[in-house]
Amino acid sequence: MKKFSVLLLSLCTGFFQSCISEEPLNSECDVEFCYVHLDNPNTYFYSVADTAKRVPSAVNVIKFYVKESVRPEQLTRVRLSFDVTPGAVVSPSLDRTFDFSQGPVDFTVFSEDNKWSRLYRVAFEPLRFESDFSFETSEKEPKGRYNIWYEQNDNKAQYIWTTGNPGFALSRSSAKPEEYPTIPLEKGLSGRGVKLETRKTGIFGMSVKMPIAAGNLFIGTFDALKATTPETMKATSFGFPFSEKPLRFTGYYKFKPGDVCIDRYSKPIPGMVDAPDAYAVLYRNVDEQGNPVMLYGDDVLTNPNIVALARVPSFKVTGVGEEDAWEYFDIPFEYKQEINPNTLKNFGYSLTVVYTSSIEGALFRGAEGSTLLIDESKVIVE
Amino acid sequence: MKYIKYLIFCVFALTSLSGQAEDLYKKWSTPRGTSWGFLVRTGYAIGGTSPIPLPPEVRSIGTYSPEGGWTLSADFFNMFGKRFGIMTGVHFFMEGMNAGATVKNYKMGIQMGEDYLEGVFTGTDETKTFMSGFTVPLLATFRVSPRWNINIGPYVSYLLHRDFEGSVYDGYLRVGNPTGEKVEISRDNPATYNFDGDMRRVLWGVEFGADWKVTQHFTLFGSFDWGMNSVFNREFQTIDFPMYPLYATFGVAYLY
Repeated sequence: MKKFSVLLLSLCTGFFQSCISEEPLNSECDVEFCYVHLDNPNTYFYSVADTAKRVPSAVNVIKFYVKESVRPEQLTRVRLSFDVTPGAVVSPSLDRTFDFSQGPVDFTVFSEDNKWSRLYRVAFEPLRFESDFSFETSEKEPKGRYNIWYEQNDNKAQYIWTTGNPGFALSRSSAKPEEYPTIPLEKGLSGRGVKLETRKTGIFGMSVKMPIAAGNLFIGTFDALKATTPETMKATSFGFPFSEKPLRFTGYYKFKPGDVCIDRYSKPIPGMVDAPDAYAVLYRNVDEQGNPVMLYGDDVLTNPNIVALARVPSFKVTGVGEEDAWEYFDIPFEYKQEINPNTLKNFGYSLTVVYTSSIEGALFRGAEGSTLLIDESKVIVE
Repeated sequence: MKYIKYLIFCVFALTSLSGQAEDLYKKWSTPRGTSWGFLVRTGYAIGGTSPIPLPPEVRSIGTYSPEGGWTLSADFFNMFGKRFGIMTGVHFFMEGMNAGATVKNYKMGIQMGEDYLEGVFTGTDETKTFMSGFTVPLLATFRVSPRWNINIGPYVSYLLHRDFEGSVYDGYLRVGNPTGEKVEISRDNPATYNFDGDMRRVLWGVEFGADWKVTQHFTLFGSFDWGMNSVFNREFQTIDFPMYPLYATFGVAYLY
């Protein structure tokens, strides 16, 4: 009987195997990497590493950050190349140079099966932001699900801020913008501020052992690619190039912890009272071998390339009502090494600032309802 | 088709030509010599629930194993003449499968309370499905030789217990459509789905079977139930194609 079962099983499997149709053509049409080819890249970029950009799946504006000294006339004959999804076709074709002196240039990538396409915009911009954060400027993301923050300098929007909102959107598709972990605070200390509140992530979040999402706001980027995997720390990368020497990290806050701290298995943690975290980090963004350095969730406070760090040591529980008073923090940067002024001027260091409503939020330990309000925060520079 | 007709003709011809034919037919008819009889059957059920044909999104079948798999039936038949009769009965069944496939751009959705995550998934999809219930067939039975009967006819099934669940991992989801955000789903944190509630209660199909009399009372049989409607109800949109139950049973029967 057993032999017969085995025979039957292999016949069935064989039958199904023979029914497998030909490999369908690819439907995806991503730009995965974008490269700029220039004769003397050092004229344009602070670091040669800046001529290559990995493009996360949710991004369709590819920004190359160039030196402020670069004039538009220098960008009239730029050669690009893309790594795209196998079989995808780029239009216009890349075997010519492009004129970026008038602004960004758009490309369309068509999938191998020709059923899908994506529009990408390539831009060359200087990156400079003032480290004086009032959090007045935020807007809804393109699909209207949640808010994103930016800094406004010289009439130019610099999208240096990121939150965990895109990750939350995956597990809570029905959530309204005000139910997200990071939302605008209408009544800040002065004008608007930011409200960071730790939320439950629903059934999907629980099933991937990420039952809470801390409210956070940080200078850096978020890529959902690894967000639900054991490498979730790689989803958040921290820092943008900065050319001034930080001295002090200051700001105003209100805080209230949530009621019950839980761990990633949704079990209450007895005796733990949730606390927020706020810190600023300056790090060398190129190592001795010339490779770009980026800080991720698992080493944002510990990477050996960190040059200076300012972290708020403790927070008062002030309450987060309108009538509760704002508390002030003023923390000097602790320098682990001397800064090289020339490297600093050439954007060889990157700065990140991080605020979160649950200090262990990255380990998915915290309390639903822990709320941190932030406004008028600065990195005071020399 | 022509080949099969020829084969059936040969079988009939050979059995009719035999001089002993009449005696053999009488000898192997029902134990009490009536035109009707009862069969109590028990058997091992094996098969699967599958789309037909396999859609191009399925790139390979990695693993398959049957789940459960037992039937207990009571059949009543009546022969009109020597060769032809009808048979009906009630079959209780428990059957299911575990299958793993590699898929590409496989449309899927995960409902989580009010929240919904959907898109196209590329990677490994493991499904477990199990059904138990009653089938009532209405078969024409053809006595092709003294000891062989072939049965063909439609059936209706009513499911008592329905289970269809699975998980996807070792791959990634493109949220919404192939140009959407790419989210990796790892083996450590698979995304799971459960479509029990979207399964039908009533299924129908065509049954093909063969009975062979070993002794006067004992028969060996094999039958195949070919499902004609999808296990999922019409409103279910998450899986793009119908999934048909295809299960075979092999066992023994006692003839009264």
